[in-house]
Amino acid sequence: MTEPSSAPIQPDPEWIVGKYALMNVRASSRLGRTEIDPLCWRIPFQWQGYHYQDHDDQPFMLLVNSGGGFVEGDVSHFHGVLEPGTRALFTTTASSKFYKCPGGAISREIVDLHVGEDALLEFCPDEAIPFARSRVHRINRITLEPSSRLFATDMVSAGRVHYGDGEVFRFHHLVSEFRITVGGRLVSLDRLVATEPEAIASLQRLWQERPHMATAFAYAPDLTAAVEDDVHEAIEGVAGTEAGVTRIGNLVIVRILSHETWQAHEALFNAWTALRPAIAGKAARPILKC
Amino acid sequence: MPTAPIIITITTAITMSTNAPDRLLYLLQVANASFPTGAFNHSYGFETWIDSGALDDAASFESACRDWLRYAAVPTDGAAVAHAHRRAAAGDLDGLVDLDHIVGALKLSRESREASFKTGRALLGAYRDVFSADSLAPFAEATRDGRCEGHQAVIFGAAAEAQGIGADDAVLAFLHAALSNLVSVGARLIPLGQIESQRIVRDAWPLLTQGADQACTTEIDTLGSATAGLDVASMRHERLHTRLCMS
Repeated sequence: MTEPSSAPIQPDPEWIVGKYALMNVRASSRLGRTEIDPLCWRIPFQWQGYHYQDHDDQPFMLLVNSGGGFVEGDVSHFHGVLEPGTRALFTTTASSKFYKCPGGAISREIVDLHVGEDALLEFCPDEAIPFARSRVHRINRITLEPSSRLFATDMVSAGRVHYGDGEVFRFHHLVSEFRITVGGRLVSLDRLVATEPEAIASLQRLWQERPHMATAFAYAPDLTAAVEDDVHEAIEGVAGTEAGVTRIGNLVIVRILSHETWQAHEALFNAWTALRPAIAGKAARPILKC
Repeated sequence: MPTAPIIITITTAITMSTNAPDRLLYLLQVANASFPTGAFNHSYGFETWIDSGALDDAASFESACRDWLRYAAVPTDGAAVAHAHRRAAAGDLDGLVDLDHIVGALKLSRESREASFKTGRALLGAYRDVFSADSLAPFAEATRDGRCEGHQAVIFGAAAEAQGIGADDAVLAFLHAALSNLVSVGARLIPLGQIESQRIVRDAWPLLTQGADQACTTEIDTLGSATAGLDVASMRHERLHTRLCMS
């Protein structure tokens, strides 16, 4: 594996006082199924185990992230290693809410996932919502081997869309990064840097007047030639969305802009429906969180 | 011992003055649409918007061009030209290869990524043949053996450094060429008149100079694009029934 580290992760001494939610897990293959071991964790991340929603060998794990949301200086760092041949799905209990940062410090959400040979990762977190005056730095880093398999989603909502008169694109700082490497080589880097007032104000226009941006990434070494056509068909026609799909080698990328949260969720689910048989060898199904 | 430093300063000044016209001529030639890279044939997804009627006049097109320049071209390729220039100056081939990976990875649609490395490889070949220059031979070899793809911004910056062009001038020329090519796409597809097309470029001069300054100071870990709508348009371009542009 490219980055097999499973060493306990520690807070960065540069970070200001705040909550440091740390979770470090490792997925291993035992008795014909994947099991997830918590190597260490720190409140407000909580270890609550996992279950087998598909009634097969693949565990579903709910990340209970920062209770109530991120206040100024909060950091959450989820680190996971999927050993060769394992498969797991990680999701969250709710959206990551980033509150105002009046002191000018940053709230950080960091995810590092290393996927071994012939292992499958499905990473389907809820959206990130930077509230008015928030200062947010999000980093998602996924490392794959050439034989790994991946379906991952990333979604940013521009604020509390239906709060009062609407509160969108009112954050003060947003860096959002989703990085994928395969065999040590960077293959996709979706990085949004909006840290100046004019750039933030322009996002509404750049997102086609839609407050939600969602992206799906899928990788497998053996995707069929027509899989992106299937995805295109699946995501077309979801109300309120503007969406596109592309394929670069064995990587499929879907970009979705939507007026409402549910519309982006539906388009993402449709993409998963088209891709999951090829990625995981089974059908997509709504993820149960309760 | 004040004499030696004065002589060195004068010598440097004379050398720069002597070469200045050549440097300007180099930039004018390489950044020209007729230089055989094919860059004039890429719309970065704009053809999708024009096809849908979202961009149907000079005003809407100009507004979209300015957004693209400011929030896509400057913080990705523009900044990459500056970084390539620095890495080439340091003889850092591995750094150029790494930068090439970043530039490619930042382009989320297949066509935009292909446009970038196809024009890059064409630039690499034309640069070698037209200027009889082999300074980029190690990088060319890296593209041939698959270590990197050979993106246009990286090669433009590295070649400019080899020709003695400053990073700021190289970035400005690159951005100007990119905008001019995009405007020529709009002129053909919308269509726009020649004068109003040139006016769009002229009116973008302040944005270009400001963008070049920004690109030259953009840190490598903040390269990124904010134009999600254009990402969608670029992806959808792959499925347009009638396409005049390659991206």
